[in-house]
Amino acid sequence: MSTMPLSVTVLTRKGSPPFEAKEFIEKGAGKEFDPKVVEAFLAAFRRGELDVPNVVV
Amino acid sequence: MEEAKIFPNRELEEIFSKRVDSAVPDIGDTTLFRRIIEQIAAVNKELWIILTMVSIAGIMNYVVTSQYMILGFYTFPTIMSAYYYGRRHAVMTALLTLIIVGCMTYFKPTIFSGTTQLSLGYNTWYHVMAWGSTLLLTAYAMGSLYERHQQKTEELRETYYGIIMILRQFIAKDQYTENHCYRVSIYATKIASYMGLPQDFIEDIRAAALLHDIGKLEISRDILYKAAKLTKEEFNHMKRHVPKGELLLEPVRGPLSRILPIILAHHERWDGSGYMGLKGRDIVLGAWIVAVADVYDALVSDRPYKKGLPPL
Repeated sequence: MSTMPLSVTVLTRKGSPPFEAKEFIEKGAGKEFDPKVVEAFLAAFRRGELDVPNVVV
Repeated sequence: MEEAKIFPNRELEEIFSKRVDSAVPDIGDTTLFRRIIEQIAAVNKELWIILTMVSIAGIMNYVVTSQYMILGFYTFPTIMSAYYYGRRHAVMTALLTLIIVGCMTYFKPTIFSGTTQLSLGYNTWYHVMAWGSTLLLTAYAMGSLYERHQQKTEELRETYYGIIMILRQFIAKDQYTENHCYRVSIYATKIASYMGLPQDFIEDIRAAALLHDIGKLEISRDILYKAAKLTKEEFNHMKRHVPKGELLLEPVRGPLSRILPIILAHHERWDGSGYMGLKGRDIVLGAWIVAVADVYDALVSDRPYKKGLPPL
């Protein structure tokens, strides 16, 4: 227990909630991302198409 | 030891066996309307072609003096049918044409016997039957050719995707990257289908998304796994994975040469402040789609990076 190697304790960044991620991408339209792609992304997001089943996440 | 599988599990396999066409969205009424029109056009295309050609041949029956020539026109529907739809359709069309021509001969025996030297003479039925069997043979042979060609194409396509799947497993040295590539390809194809892009283009984007981290092959795994803060030097090393991907795929032609620019540019930023300073329409659309999908997945999923590292 106490001699657990340090290298194993990999920090895992917890993913943000999908809504926050969506806002980030929405804000990035025209700066970081193609506005048209973001538009399509938002349309897909609103219809819940970007919810990936737990097995993949 | 579990047998090696392309798909890590059944659910993933189901997600991936679903082609994008099942996920084609209907945004609003106009798109739906357009889709209905497209459906009708697709279903009846063949019928329209054949009907048009038969009717043209029929009209010419009454216009042209050399009636024998008209029989030639009646072969066109069959040939077109073989060219576009394969053996079964071609043979059916040939039979249909034969029936029509037979009826015409029966009800109006003089129809294919003109006044020119090319006329069929007295034994009209003999000529019509000879013509008919040639037509059937043509239909069968052309249709078979078409189908063999289709089969080969399909085989090549399957091989192509199989190889991409295998390659993806080599790129993804860990479970996280592997699933990340999967998810990015799902997001990217969804976005692309919402943009109304053609199916071929979507397939290119799917392949590019699956391979978008190809350059990481030559990168030290320690850096990828390192949960500690990356030094500037390490981050530069990390950034280099994009041009490396290009070098790996440089000698490739065909579909992979279309997905290369997507892989190459997916880390660029729209305003040109990315790795290579390209911006806007200098870069293929696919790269922007993969970029959004990549960032979205990086944000949403748990990943073994230092907290607060920009998700690029």
